[in-house]
Amino acid sequence: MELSFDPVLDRIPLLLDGLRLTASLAALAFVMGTLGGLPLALGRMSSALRSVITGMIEATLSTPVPLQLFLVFFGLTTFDLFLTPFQAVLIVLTWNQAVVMAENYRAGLQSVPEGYKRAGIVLGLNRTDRYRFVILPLAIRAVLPPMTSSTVNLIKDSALAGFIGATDLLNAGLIGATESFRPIEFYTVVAIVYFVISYPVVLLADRLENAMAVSRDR
Amino acid sequence: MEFVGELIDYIPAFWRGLRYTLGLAAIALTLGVVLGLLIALARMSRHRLFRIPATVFVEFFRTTPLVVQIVWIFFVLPVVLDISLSSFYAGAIALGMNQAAYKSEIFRAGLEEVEGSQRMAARVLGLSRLDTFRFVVVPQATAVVLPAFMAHTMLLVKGTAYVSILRVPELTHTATLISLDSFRFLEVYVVVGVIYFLMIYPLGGLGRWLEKRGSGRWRIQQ
Repeated sequence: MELSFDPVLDRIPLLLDGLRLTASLAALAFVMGTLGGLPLALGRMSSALRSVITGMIEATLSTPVPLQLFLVFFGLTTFDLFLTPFQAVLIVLTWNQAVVMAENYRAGLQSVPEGYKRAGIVLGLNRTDRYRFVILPLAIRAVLPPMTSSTVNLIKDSALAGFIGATDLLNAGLIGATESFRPIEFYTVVAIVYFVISYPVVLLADRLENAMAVSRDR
Repeated sequence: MEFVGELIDYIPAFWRGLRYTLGLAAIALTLGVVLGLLIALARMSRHRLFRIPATVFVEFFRTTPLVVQIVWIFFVLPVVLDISLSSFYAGAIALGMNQAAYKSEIFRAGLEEVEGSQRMAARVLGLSRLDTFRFVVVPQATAVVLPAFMAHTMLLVKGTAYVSILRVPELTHTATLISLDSFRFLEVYVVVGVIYFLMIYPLGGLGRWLEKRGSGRWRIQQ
């Protein structure tokens, strides 16, 4: 077996284009999903929509993301709604991030001990101040570690764009491998690039988890 | 509701898809548990020779997309090992190795949960190493491990859908094939979504139930 990385070097612009698509997908879905998770969490904790939102969250968490992607991309054509691959992936990734974040927010808010909330009331803090100075600072500690691990998942799931023909990093690798008959080199490089993007986030997650664990024990 | 009549013709195809999905999950689960235990032990070993490769393995599989791993194993493993590998087995092996990486972390957490002092106490009581493992470490570790184990098994069943990139006719790829044949895109994907839900949702419920039960019964009160 002889390895040759020249075809990979020749196609660096293609891979960079793919990387750009992967990065913009992950970044957009992260921002929109992280924000969108908040109303979802609040909706689930109170209001008449509770059972509907709970059902949607459970349905999302209990079905594979590729299937959701096909449902959005191909299924919506039934309603004459033709999405571009980028739009379809963005919708699915954002929705999944929002669902995961909603669960994180809920767990975070519920992790604040009841006694702290009551202590806030006794100290004469109004509702806003209780949230600002007591509940949210504590809740964020519980939310941050799972938030970073869901970010890793987001980067990884952005590779699904290739399933429906968007030229993301993985698909750029597939194209390069097919053109040059060098699958090993291309997939290895693609895997390494994903590793290089995700590993810092994983390290951050581990560090946050340790830091938060210590500060909560005190 | 006329699609119901149309889709009835496809029941054998759905059934084949389900068998492929369950087959992938079963092989991957077995591989994941066996390999995951070995990796957990290797990562806790005192010898760097075991620890470093195990750590690299875990970090690699935790930080690259599952699809990339599936594609990589399908194209690279046959060349490196000079074997022929069907897309089904390539997918199963990739899923199994991915599971092993995650499950090893859970096993490690479970094994570390049981403190050294308990092991020492067991040894002083005259239990052999094997009996210590069997009667002291495993029962307590199980309580810690089971809920996370179930959560990752849910991920495994969802993960089988990613093997559709190799055109293995598991449920998701079957859905694509059927929808292209019947032009019932929305209905077919919804039906398959329901099938997945019926498999995966109970696993989550079982995990939550085990968590509740475990925290009361199996945990030793400190």
